[in-house]
Amino acid sequence: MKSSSSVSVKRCRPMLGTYVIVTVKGTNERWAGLAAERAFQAVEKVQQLMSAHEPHSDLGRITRSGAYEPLEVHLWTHQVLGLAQKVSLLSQGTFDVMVGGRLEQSGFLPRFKEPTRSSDSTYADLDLLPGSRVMLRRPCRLDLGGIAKGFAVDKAVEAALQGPGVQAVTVNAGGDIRIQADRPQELWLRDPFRPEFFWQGGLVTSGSFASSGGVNALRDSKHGLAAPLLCPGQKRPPRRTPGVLVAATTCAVADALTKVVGLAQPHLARRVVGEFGAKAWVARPGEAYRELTPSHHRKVGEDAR
Amino acid sequence: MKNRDWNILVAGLAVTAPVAVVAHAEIYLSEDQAAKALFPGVKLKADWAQLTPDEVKTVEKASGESVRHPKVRVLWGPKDQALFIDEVLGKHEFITYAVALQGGKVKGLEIMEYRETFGQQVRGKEWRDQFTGKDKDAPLRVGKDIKNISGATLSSVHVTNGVRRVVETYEVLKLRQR
Repeated sequence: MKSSSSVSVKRCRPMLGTYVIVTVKGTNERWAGLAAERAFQAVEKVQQLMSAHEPHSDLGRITRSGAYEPLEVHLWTHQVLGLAQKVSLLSQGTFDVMVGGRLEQSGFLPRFKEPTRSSDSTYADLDLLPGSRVMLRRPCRLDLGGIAKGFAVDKAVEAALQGPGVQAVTVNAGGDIRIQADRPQELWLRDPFRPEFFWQGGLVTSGSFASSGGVNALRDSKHGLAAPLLCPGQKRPPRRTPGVLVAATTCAVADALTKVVGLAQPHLARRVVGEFGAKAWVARPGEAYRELTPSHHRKVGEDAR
Repeated sequence: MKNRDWNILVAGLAVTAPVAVVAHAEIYLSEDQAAKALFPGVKLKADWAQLTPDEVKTVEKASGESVRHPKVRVLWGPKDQALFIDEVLGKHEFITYAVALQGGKVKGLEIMEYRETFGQQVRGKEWRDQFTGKDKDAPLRVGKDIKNISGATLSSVHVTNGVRRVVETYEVLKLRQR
């Protein structure tokens, strides 16, 4: 859609535990402002449904449900859990939303009372049933973490676009970024190991991106150094994960894949990334981002010059 | 996403040196714009309120947050409506935000300005040493034109804590009016 006049509205609110930035280009300020408001409302809804911190969210309800008690959840929650299960299965459990019990133990999630939950549960302990229902095979704690954040970005962009006079939308929630623009936008990557450095990521007209890794996520807890990112099957958090950037069809997929690329063996990561038709780049301390290619680690852009 | 977008991104990632940023800042809303966004159509009266040492103690005790500025920017509206302009300090970032309160409850919240500075590191030898070798020619700049950043999830916990302090500040100022 081309128009002789356009106005940009940029808003930022603290949501999802981070800052959500919504940029809307519209034919007038009112329409652009309304579109930004719709975007924030969609984020708010995802936050209410999928917060691992709120006992009354869909996720909280699942956590508090007993084994073999089917529970109806919102269609969005069901969709996100469906995607999570798919990524878990393909990544052979490298990605697993059932690590909540261990995050609870290390202090990243508030403790819920009742019932007693196992901390070694895996994605196989969750069944997705028809009719937007879910069922646990044993009591456990879920944490959708970044995948819900990515999903919120997807829904926010959709919501903003569902209205008159909207020409372009960008939503960025703590690094999960989706661009639906009418002309190329610059994408920047913060260096995961040196936050005062930025990499120029190129020009993007439309795309969904997520990044993760680096040293920022680590924090001291009473159980020693803990990370909110856990490698299922291993007791300790990874000491240091590489910086990972993933571009995919949606932010929810991109965010889930950053965990796979950061934690899985390269051959497995390549397969899962390929399965979703996505692309991934990996950066180690002091190095440029390199594309995760099917054959070998090739420096990004070597063939582009 | 179409293939052509991938290719653009791949080509873009061909940069060999990162850009070092001294200060990255974004302005979202001015005070006037924040007032219009959070209290549309409501006439607000801008004021500065100076908290007494006793009031500071009350706010700190009730919110669990220390009061860095006893001088408070507040815009009063009718019927217990108030807009507070507050600032919090994160690890590297200063954040100015507006909180709309109605009868002591948070009605809305907008970030007005986000400023990130690595000034101290930049002056340090250790930081400058990062430029040795391949980073030597990396440009150093103020990042006001750096938008659409992916990476390093920033925690909004400082703002959440600040809002708690603002709510208690409102209660203290309301006590004065009674």
